[in-house]
Amino acid sequence: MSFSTIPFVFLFLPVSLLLYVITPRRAKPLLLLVLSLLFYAWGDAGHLPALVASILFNYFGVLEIDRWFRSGYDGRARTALYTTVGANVLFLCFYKYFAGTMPLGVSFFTFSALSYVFDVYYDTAPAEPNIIRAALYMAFFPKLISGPIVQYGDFFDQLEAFQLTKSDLFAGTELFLIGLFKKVLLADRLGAAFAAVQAMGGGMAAGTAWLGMIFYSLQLYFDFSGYSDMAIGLSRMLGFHFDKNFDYPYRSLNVSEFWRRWHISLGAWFRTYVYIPLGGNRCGSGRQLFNLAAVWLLTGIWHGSTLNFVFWGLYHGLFVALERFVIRDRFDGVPRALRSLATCLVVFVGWVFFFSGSLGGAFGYIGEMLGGDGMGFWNGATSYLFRTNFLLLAAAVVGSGPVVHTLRENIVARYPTRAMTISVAIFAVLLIFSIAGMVNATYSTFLYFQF
Amino acid sequence: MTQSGTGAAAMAVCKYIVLVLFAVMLIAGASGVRQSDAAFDDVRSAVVTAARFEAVQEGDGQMLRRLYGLDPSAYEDFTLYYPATNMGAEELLLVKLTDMSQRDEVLAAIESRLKTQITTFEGYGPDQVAMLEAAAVEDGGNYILFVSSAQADTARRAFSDAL
Repeated sequence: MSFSTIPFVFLFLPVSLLLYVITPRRAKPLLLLVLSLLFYAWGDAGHLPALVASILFNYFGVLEIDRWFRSGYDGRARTALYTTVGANVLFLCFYKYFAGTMPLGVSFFTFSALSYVFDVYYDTAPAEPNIIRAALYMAFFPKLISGPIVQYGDFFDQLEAFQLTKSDLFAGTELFLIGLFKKVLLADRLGAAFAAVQAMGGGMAAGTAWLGMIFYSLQLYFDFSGYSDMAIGLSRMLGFHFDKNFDYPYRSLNVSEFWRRWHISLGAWFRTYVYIPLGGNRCGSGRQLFNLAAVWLLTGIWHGSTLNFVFWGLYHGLFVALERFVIRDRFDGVPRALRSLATCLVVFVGWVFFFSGSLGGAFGYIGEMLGGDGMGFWNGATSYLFRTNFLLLAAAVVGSGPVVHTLRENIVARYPTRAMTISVAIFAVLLIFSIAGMVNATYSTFLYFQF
Repeated sequence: MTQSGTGAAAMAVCKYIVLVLFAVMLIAGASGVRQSDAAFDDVRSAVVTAARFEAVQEGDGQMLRRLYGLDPSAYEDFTLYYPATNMGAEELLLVKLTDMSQRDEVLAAIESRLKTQITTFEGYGPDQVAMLEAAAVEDGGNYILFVSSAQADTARRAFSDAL
């Protein structure tokens, strides 16, 4: 089940909120867990046993580790860590590379489970003896299917409060709606524009190929950041506070900064549980390069098993390494706009490997961007695509930066009462358009659901 | 062994019981996961013969992209027949997947195409709408079939038999 569908927005969400409000505080964890499992079953009932098995296995595995430590058997605790983590990795690899079908969100809930295991082992957070609360962390429906990957250490103390406040409800609703607008009004339409480019198949002008790459890059951002906003907004409505997962990544000045702004929770996960344990920056250049290669190889593999994803991961790793060891601060004097454009170019070309079905397909598309089809840079099809999607492109480019947010903040600061009225009116209009979009659309799934 | 140690051992036992039960469930369920080793040409021949089209033309990769938004290079093989005229609703798409993870995107593309066609003919093409609403969409594991034809049921049976 997706957040941007009529059944979720007008049935599951209001019913869940109502039940959450009227349920006594002691029973709220159980209610949330039941809702989470129902949510998962609605989208992928066939793999519900896999999710339940993962939850139970990690619940017992973490308690095993904790109790070995308490009884002084550190070696057995380490063995328990290896077996628990190993089984999780095998579980993930099995479903991603060998099984016919993959449980929805398997990468996300397995990484959440691993975070729980590591945080307890490294004493960042205590083990949770209550199975309902432990299960709720791993299966919490706002973040279950497509993140953000909230680390257990950042979540466990929120498992006590279960308080619903007006400010959280309003702030959460606002964020949820912003995410919905991003998904339905921008991402889905950019997806349609990209599909129009794809439908041209072989034989397109270079400009058309460039437009296709830009459409996809913007679609991916609004799709994923929109979903993250909805997930974080939903969590906020229920009283859970999660950090943002995107921070205007397309205004980054270099690739390293891009990865501090794009899918922040995944980067933080790899940094906390892979890069730093391997030694991080606290070692020689050679070892640092190895650590970076390991992280970026895993990042690529996390997204997909085919060579084009592995290449994409190493492609980003190469730029991060170049920035750290070769470029350093050499380009600090270059105007920010140019640096930002250059970073966007690197990142957008990287997305070609993301949407192409194969490595060969990706290089073929890049060849088309360089005029390899012999149809010049700009033709009638390019003009048509650009003309019919100009407003959408303009809205997407503006929306991918902080301009709208900053403008809104300034207006609210200057005209607080009037700004509230205007805000509500704008949100109402956008919501009507979004509902129309949801009703009318051929359902387009979130791109990151496939992970 | 201390009480905590005994408790740890008990947790380990529970952990492995879950693991074993899950493995048993996977093995039991594996028999239901269907992947056919039938040759693509045999399956194609069977369904195209059974569909008994009257007015279609064969489509290439470019047409697959245009009509379904699918990348032909991503799949092991495919066959596409689409209407020869704007008033036709006969159509066939047979795809052999390279990877089972492609299943959902192909099914979604077929659903989208079907919806587009029904919308196109609504109001002035009742026969076409009826044919499309009776179309067969079959999930054969690594083979996916969509056939809109007066003989859709026959084609569906031929597909199952061929696998």
